[in-house]
Amino acid sequence: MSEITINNKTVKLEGDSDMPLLWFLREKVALTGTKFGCGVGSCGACTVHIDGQPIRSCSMPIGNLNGNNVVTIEGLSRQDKLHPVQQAWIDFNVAQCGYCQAGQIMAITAFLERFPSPSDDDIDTHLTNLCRCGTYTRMRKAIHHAAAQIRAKGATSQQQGESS
Amino acid sequence: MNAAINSRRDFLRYSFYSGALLIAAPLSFSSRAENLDSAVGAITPLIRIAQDNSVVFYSPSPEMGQGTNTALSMLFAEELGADMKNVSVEPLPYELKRDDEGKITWKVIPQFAGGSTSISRNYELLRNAGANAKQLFLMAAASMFKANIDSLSAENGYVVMSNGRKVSLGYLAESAAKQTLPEGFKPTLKDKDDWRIIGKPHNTQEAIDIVTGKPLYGMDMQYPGAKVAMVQRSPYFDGDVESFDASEALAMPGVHQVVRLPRPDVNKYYTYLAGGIAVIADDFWTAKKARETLKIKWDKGPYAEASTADLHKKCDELLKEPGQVVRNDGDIKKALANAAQIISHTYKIPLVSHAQLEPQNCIAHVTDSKCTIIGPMQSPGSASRLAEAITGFDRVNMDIRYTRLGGGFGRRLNSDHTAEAVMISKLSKLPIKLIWTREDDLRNDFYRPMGHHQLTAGVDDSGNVIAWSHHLVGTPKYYRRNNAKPEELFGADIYVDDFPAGRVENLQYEYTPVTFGAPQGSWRAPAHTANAFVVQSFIDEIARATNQDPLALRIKMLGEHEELPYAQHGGPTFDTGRMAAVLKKAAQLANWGKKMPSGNALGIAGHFTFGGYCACVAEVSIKPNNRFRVNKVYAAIDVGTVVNPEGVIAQVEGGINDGLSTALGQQIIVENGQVQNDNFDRYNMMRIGDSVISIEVAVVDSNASPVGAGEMGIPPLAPAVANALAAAGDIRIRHHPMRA
Repeated sequence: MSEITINNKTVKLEGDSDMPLLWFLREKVALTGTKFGCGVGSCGACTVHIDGQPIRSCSMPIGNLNGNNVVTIEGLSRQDKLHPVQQAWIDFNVAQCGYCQAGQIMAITAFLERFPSPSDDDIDTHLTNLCRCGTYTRMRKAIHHAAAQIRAKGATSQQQGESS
Repeated sequence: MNAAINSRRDFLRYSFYSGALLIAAPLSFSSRAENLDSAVGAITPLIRIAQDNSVVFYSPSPEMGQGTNTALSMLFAEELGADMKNVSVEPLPYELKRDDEGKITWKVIPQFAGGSTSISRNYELLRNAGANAKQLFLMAAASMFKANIDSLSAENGYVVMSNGRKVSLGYLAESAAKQTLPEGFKPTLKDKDDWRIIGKPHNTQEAIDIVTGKPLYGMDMQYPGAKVAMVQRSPYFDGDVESFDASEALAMPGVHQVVRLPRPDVNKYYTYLAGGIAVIADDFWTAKKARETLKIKWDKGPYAEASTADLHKKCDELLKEPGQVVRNDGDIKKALANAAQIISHTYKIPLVSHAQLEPQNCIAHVTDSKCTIIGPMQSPGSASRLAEAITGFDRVNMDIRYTRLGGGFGRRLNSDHTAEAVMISKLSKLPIKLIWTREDDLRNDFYRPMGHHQLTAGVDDSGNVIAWSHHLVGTPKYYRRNNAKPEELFGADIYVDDFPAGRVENLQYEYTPVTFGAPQGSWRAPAHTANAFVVQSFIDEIARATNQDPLALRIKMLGEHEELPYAQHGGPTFDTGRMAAVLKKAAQLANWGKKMPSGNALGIAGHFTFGGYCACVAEVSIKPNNRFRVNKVYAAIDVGTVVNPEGVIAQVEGGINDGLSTALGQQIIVENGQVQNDNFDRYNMMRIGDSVISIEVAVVDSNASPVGAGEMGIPPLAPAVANALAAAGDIRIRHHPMRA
């Protein structure tokens, strides 16, 4: 069967080809950070990155994958350094029950690649993950803050690149 | 693991519910148990302190996002003198015991979460427990360093001696565990002025685990050998399996067993929700595919034709008939006859689902002698009672562990999911992990009751409300509740002491129950969400009809500062002054009365929920195509003494968005006896695109007894929005969902 990369590890895909990636992650490789919420691609709790794109893994059969690069919430931080969105989530105390937040963070990290300086309208239009606890208002603040952090870091690394 | 469990029980030396002493710390060098199994091996009842000074606090209230892990650990840490930076929190495994008379009671401390009671229930208990624990550390230090105990104090994780020397709690833990409190010792609690932790903002303890995807929830738990169980439940309320053929499922590789769950007794309150067929398989996907192959003929039961459309029609009809008078002050008929103006409107509230993001799930393992339950529960007590009824085992000896909940909102006060899991494990003799799909979850809920409310007011020449009548026709939450007589059904849907009771001389509350097959239950701030919407909308309508300012009319109706008797949950009194104060505070934040561009307006509402006072001012803009946006909400909340202001603010913000989400789009639709909108593509929950863009919360601190904050934010939001829409564009919405 085919292989994919999950959080920088090569993994052989096993099981029914129609099994959604969500259940492969949760039950076959014990990566339970990716959550089951609806099973129909509506709530976004299962969002992961596949080749850099935010994908609702509950609706992605593993048979459609071969050689893809999958990143889950467990693989988002690098060398124990949190992604700026994760850090903003802590600093702004976004999470309540927290169940949707892994999916939110995966959707938002991908969103900020496309919209490095998002407006409130961009957020309203392009982010559709559900949160029952009602943390949206804090999310919005944390998104703007994380975007600024990423932009600042990008500018810093660019300057360093130019000077060396 | 067994040895560790035994040692744990040995160490439960002082576990009095009175809170006399709740620490008994064997040294543990692992700073943090990675999963529930190892946690069982390593802990003491409420805390474990390791040599590195890290403190694990075992919380007696299941954490579901309401922030009790943080707030309760703060109470304990304050008196212990711990440093919150070193404190992490885990769920306390459920523990019961028999007292001297053989009566079952809590072994350590009450374990439960619901009704915003965790703070009020634990406020004294956990501070006393922390102070007792501190005393043991002081005794240990006094003996180790030959110091006078009165010269010692504990702060920031250290015992401090009079000469300034410090020794860490971790270093002292082993010795402290060997100390015994003097007979009759009563701890002295810190003065409020000396608090270093309580009253200061603290972020969620588990934030780092949440944002990195650590396994925290029932859905994430693993159990050795557990198979996945999934149930095809009767799609009809009180329906049952007439016959079934599972041969195809049983022939599938990875499918272990198929067992039939009998229909629960329809004449009693629910133990679980529906009869059905359970499929047990190696994994989720196999179980789901096998379930799809089941051929089941349903006995459709008594509600096969039921529909929410018919239910609403029935409510309309019943509203024309008199109901049961559940409160009657003065003479409503005479007062209405004498009124200068009569105003009357009807408001409609639908059934809604809890729709917590983590679908129901539960691990259960029933052997010949033991019952293990691991999963998301608000009431492990009810889980244990149902498990006792199913297995016949003594619930004192069960192994029950609640996990973090991916949302509770009252859904998991009922333990139907744990009962189902126990039953399937018992029938199959396998350890199982029951998983519900979202469709299962939306189709099988204890829904928030629906109802039609008719409000009628009589106003005199000076704009004073002299008569008030409220008639609710609805599906009672107490439907089928054990021991609830027909004339008591109103009790969970009209709280008879709710405002404006006691403030309008001639006042009548009436109730008419309607039978519908759907189970009804507690849903975040239960009847307050509906009643706040109708009462606070109606006051606004009176204000508009009589040319009074909506805030001024509320303040006038609240009258003199007085504590009115309040016999329902949240009492014993309702303080009119505290209510007026939060209304004024929210209005002040919003600059009430300010000029706003056309199509924009403010609306105000306030409500007393379970001992807490909360008011909201919503600022809305009318948008094209009958849409609108809530741009900003200003809120003020008074929950008495504030334990964690950051947690209170977060709960109010969450309640505001949750309240908007529920009011805008949510309703459960039943046709032909079946729930139609059984997933999030059809059950309309709010996304960030409709959420409140900005929220400002003022927390009013006081010396009043503390209450929780999990439910107070939600009731005033929907009426504040409805009132703002009326002010912005003469749009008066008297129903939920507001977008329908």
